[in-house]
Amino acid sequence: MKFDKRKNSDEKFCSLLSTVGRKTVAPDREFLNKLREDSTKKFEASASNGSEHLGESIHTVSIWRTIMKSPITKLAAAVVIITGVLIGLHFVGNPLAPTVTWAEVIQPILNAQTAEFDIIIGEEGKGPVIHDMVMGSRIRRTVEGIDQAVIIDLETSKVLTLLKQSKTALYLDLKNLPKIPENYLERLQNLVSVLENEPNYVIEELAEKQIDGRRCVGFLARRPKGEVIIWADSQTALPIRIEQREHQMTVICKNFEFDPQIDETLFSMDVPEDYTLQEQQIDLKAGTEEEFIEGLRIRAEVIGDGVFPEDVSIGYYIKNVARVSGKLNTLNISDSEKGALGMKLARHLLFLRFFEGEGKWHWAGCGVELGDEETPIFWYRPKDSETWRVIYGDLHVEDAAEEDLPEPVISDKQTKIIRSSEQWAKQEFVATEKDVWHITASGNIVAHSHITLTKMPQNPSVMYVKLPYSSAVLESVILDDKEVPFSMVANVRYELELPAENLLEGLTPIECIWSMPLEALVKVDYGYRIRLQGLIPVEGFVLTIVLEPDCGFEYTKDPSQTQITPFRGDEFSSIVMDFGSCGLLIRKRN
Amino acid sequence: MNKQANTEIADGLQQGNRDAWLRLYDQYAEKLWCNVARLMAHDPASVADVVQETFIAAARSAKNFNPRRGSLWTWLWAIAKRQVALHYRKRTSNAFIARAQQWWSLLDGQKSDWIEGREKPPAEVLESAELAALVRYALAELPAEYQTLLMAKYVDGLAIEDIAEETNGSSVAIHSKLARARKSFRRVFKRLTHSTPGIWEITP
Repeated sequence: MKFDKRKNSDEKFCSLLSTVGRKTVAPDREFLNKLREDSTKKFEASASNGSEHLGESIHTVSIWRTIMKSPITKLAAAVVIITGVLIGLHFVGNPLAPTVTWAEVIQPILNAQTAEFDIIIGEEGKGPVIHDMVMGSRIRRTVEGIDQAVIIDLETSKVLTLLKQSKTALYLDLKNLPKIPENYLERLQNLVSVLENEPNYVIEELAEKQIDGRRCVGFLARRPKGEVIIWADSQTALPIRIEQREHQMTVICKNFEFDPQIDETLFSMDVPEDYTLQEQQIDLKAGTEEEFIEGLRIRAEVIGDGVFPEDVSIGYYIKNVARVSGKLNTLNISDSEKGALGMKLARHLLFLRFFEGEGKWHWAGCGVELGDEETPIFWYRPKDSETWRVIYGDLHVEDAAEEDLPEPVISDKQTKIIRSSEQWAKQEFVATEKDVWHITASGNIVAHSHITLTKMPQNPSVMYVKLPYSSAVLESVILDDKEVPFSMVANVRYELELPAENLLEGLTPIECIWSMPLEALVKVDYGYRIRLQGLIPVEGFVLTIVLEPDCGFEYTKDPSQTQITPFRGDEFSSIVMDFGSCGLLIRKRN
Repeated sequence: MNKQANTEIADGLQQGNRDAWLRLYDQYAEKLWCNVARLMAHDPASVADVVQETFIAAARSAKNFNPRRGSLWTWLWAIAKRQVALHYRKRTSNAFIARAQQWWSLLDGQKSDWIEGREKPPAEVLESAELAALVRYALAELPAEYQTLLMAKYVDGLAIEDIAEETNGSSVAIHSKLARARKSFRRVFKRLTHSTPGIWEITP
C-alpha cells in the first residue's frame, strides 16, 4: 500500500517535472558534427602540449560554418551580410574632435589609398568577424566561416555576392541605398570636416588603456542618439579600434591596416565565367512598422515554433543567422516562397537598422507565444509622436500614453519634469500606502490612497505624486483634516503644497482621493488586471477593492463578499513605485 | 555506459587518446544537447553555445578527469551546468520568469499539493509555457547531480537500475539521492513561486 502511494506521488511529481521535456530544441546534428571535429582538435592540442595553441577560432566556428546548402539560405545570408555592409558604412564615418592629438590620429586615414579592417557587430567574441578590404568606391567583404565574398560598388549601388561552393553569383541592386560618399575612404576622411559643422557632439578624452598589448589613448564622442570611441596607439597615433553605439546597436572596427598592397582584381564586379548568375533587388530604405510586424510573425511562426525570440536586435539576429537559414531550408515551400520570406526578414531588420523613432525601442517578447493578445512584446515612440506604439503577442498594435506603457520609460519629456523626478530618484519621500478603491454604480473607481510617510526631506514644502493611470484625476488631498492645495505639473503628476508644521514623520497620514473610469483597467477573462503602483516611492502597499451596492459586479469566488484585498505587500525588500500587477476576480452580476 | 567502458574512456582521455575522446563525444553529445535544451527552452542558439562551451571546456580538462570522483556523464554535466548558470547570469531580462511567477500567483487550485506530488495539476496548467519556465528555472538552480537524476528519472523515464549504472552508483544510493533531489527541487520551486515582492491575494 505504501509502495502504491509512493508510486502514485511519483507519477504526479513526474507530470510536473516532465513539462521541461516538451517542445524542446531538437539536436542540431550538423552543428554537433562540426563540434565533434573542433572539440577533438582542441582535445588533441590540449593533450599534446598541455596548453592551447588553437587560439580563439574554435570558439567562434560553430554556427558560422554550418551555413548553408540551398540558394535560398545563401540568399538569406547574403541579405544579412548586406545589412552588415550598411552598418559598417554608416558607422565608420562618424566625426570626432579636431584636437591636435586627434589630428595625428586621423592622419593615416586621410592619407590612405587602401585599407583593411575587421568589423564586429554586437558583443565581441560572440558573433562572426566581418573582414573589409577597401579600394576607392569598392569594398570587398568576407565573413568568418562563410565561403563567399561580397563586393560592393558604392558608385552604382550594386553588390556582387560570389558563392564559391555552388559557383553561384548573386547580383543585388541596392535600391534606395542611404546617401554616403562614393569613395569609402573619403567617408573616413570626412571625419574632421563633418565635426566642425556638427554642434551636437561632445568630446571627452579617455584614460589610457592597453588594447592587444598596446598602450592606447581614447576619444569619446557623444551625440544625442549614440556615441563613438576611437582608440589609437599612444606612440604611433595609428587608429587601433573604433567602438560605436547607435540606437541600440554596437559595432566594433579593429585591426586596421592602411595602404596595404591589394590585388585590384579582387574588386571586380564582373561575374566569373564558371558562375551561374541570379539577380535580386533589395530596397534599403527604412522598413515600416507593418514590415517589422510581418518579420516578427515569421520569426515566431516559422522560426520559433510559435514563440517569439529572446531578442530582436540585429546583433542577435546575425549571431543566429545560420539557424534562421537552416529553418528556412527545412520548409516545404517553393524556392520563390522561401525567397519572399528572406526578403520579408530583411525588411524587418531594416526597421531597426534605420530606426526612426524617438529614444529607445523596447523588446519584452522573450518566450511569449504568438497569438497572446494580452502581452505587450515591443513598444517604441515614432518620430515626432506624443504617444507610443505597443505591439502585442497577437501582433495587434495600440497607441499608448507614456505612463500607460508596460514598463516605465525614461523619455525626453520625463527628464523635463526635473523636480518631480528628482524627488523619486533621491527617494526624498518614502511611505507605506494603503489604497481603498470603490467601484461605484456609475462605472467609476474612486480611490482613497492613504499615505503614511516613513521618510521625508528636511523642511519639505512640496511633494509630488503620480497617479497610476493616464485617465486618473486627483480630486482632493487631506492632511490632518485639512485640504491641501495642489496643482497639476504634467499629465497624472501633481505638486502638493504641504503645510510643513503639520508633518510628523511616520505619523501623519495623507489621504489622496482620485478617480478614473473602471474601463481604464485591463479587461481579462477572469475580471480585470490592476497595475500596482504607489503614488510616491513605497516600502509597503495594500490594495482593497470595495464593490459598492449598485455597482453591478460581484466577487467571483464568493458573491456575498463586497470587500476584496487582491494585493498585500506589507514590507517590500526595497523601495519601489511599480511592482507589477494583480488580478481582480469580479464578474457582472446577473 | 557500463563501468568498464567508463574506465576505458577515462584511461584513454588521460593518455590523450583521440578515440577515447570520440567515444565520449559520440556517447554523450546528443544527450547533453537534450538536457541543456530542457533547461533553456526555445533558444537553439543558446543551447548550441552552451553545448559548444561545455565540450571545449571538457576537451581542455579531459586529461585530468578522475574516475574516482564520479562517472564521465556526471563530470560532463557538471561542466554543462556551470555553462547554463553562466548563460542565465548573462541574461539581462528575467521578464518571462517574472510573468510566470505572476501567472502562478493567480492560479486557482491546490498548488502546494501539486508541488508535493499529492495532486496532479490540471492539463491546462501542465501544458502552459509558464509552468515549464518555472520548473526549468528551479531545475537550473539545483546541484548538477540532482539535475541529472531528476531529468533521467522523471523526464527520460529511466529505471533506477539504469541510472545507477550510468552514474556508477547503487540502486539504494540512487533512491536516497532522488528523494533528496525531489526535496531540493520542491524547496527551490516554492521559493521561486513566492519570491515576488508582495503576497498576491485572491481572498480577503
